[in-house]
Amino acid sequence: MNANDLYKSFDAIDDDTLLKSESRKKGGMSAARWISLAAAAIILGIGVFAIAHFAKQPDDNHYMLVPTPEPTQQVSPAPFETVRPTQDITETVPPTDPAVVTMHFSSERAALLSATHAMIRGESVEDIPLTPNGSGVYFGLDGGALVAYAEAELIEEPGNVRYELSSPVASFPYELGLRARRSVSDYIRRNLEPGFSGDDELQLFGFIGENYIIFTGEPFHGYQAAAIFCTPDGSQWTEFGAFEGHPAELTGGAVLSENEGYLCYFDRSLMRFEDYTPRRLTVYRTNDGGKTWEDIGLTIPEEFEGIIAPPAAALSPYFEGDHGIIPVMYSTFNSFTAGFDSHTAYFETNDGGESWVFRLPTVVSPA
Amino acid sequence: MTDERIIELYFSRDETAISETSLKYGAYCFSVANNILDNRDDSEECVNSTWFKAWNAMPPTRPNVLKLFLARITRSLAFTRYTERAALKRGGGQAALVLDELSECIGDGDAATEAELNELRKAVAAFVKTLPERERDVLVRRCFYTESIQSIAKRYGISGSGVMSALSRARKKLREYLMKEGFIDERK
Repeated sequence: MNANDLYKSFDAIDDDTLLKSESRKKGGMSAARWISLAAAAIILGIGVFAIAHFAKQPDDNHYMLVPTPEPTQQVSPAPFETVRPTQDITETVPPTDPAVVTMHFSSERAALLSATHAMIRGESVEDIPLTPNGSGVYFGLDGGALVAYAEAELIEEPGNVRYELSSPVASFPYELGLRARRSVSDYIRRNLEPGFSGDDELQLFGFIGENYIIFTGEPFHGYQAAAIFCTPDGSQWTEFGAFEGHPAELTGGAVLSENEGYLCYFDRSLMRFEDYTPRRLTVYRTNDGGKTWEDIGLTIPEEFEGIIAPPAAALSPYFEGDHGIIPVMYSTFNSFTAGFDSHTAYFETNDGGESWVFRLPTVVSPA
Repeated sequence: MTDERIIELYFSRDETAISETSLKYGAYCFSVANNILDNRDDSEECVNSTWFKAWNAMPPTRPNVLKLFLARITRSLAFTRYTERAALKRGGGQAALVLDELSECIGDGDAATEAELNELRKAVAAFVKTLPERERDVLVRRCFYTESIQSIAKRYGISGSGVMSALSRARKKLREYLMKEGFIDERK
């Protein structure tokens, strides 16, 4: 007997087992445990952070940011405007070695930022093909710094899966990366895999803002946990709040002050249920520094019933004073191509997030 | 159109059965074939052959789940095509990787006889049921549907390395199971 025989034998698997494998599973763990899992890093990044060293404080959660004249690593700042908006999976690169498969990921952060800035000013936006969680960045601990990259290559070869990162957009203290890894790994141990020991190999993703980073790891069965760090005055990085028990994949977030923050989630697993409505978005808000989080109940108006198709997702909020927006990526079915087109809309608040109104921007075609 | 209605069309020898099947399951069967063959033309040919085989099989066969009935036909046709291509050194796609992985479990002996293959089928079907849910699903997607690691990772929302480790555990258990059942000589 040989491998061909064994491969053929898999056609004897019963229908029930095959059908069960078609749907998204949550493994053998309780929903509550999955809910609190692994991580998505979201961000509204603006510009490039200055490279800095910092000294660890006695308190394990605090770091002192100490600017130095000579950075430990010169990271070429790539202004976000130069990052081309793309789908999150842009292409599968034909491998030269048939045993190696490569997938390319490109952050949509630049496109989202561009659209966000236009929408909050009431300007027209390009109808860009955003995806629910494609606006994050990929973190690497390289050359003495925590570096955020816009591009990632997932390389799969027998016995080895790894990421190769490129197009750096921002740099942060190295120690912050170690702390984030530990924090996300601890989260995985608490909530998903008690025996998890991959701290050193953990690939971090996330969302970056002017004074915060939301870290995450890869989703586990569609659920991600966040580890949020912020530096309100630019001198110390502190961990913001506790995030046990939030559902699904992170698609955005923001820390607005030492008390106020938002996290946006998207639950792909709901898409298999017939009563799933893509009009309902999942956005949590905290007003107590992340101790408690409340779903603010954003729902796209009823007139979109039957027009909006999954996926629809809330992306990273952006505020200028009390005026703020939460960009929304939504899809419609294209009967001509038998595929889905993605569009951009937003919820707007003029009272600091107490009430929200759904708006459609004026859309122009991409150049 | 419902599966029941499509099956009735086959039983009443109505040729619209094929167009309805193609409309509903053409893309699905194509993906089953293309995972194995990684070639559009060959995969389309397998899908067309699937309709022909289904037409000949129904009646008398009345599938419990039409989609899986078709998938098994397509998978078998595609794998036959794959082995023919491999003989011509034109192998490729995910099938080469899956076969390489499965060779860890069973070695590289002579092809099984029909009787041996039937016993092996029963053993594999029984073994899969013993696995934990996560390992079972991942193994089924990899070894029945011949899906890539990335595709499985995306389907279940887990990392590529998580899929690899689940597969590795499942294969180790499969080897032990086949050894216990006498399909593999323990000394090998």
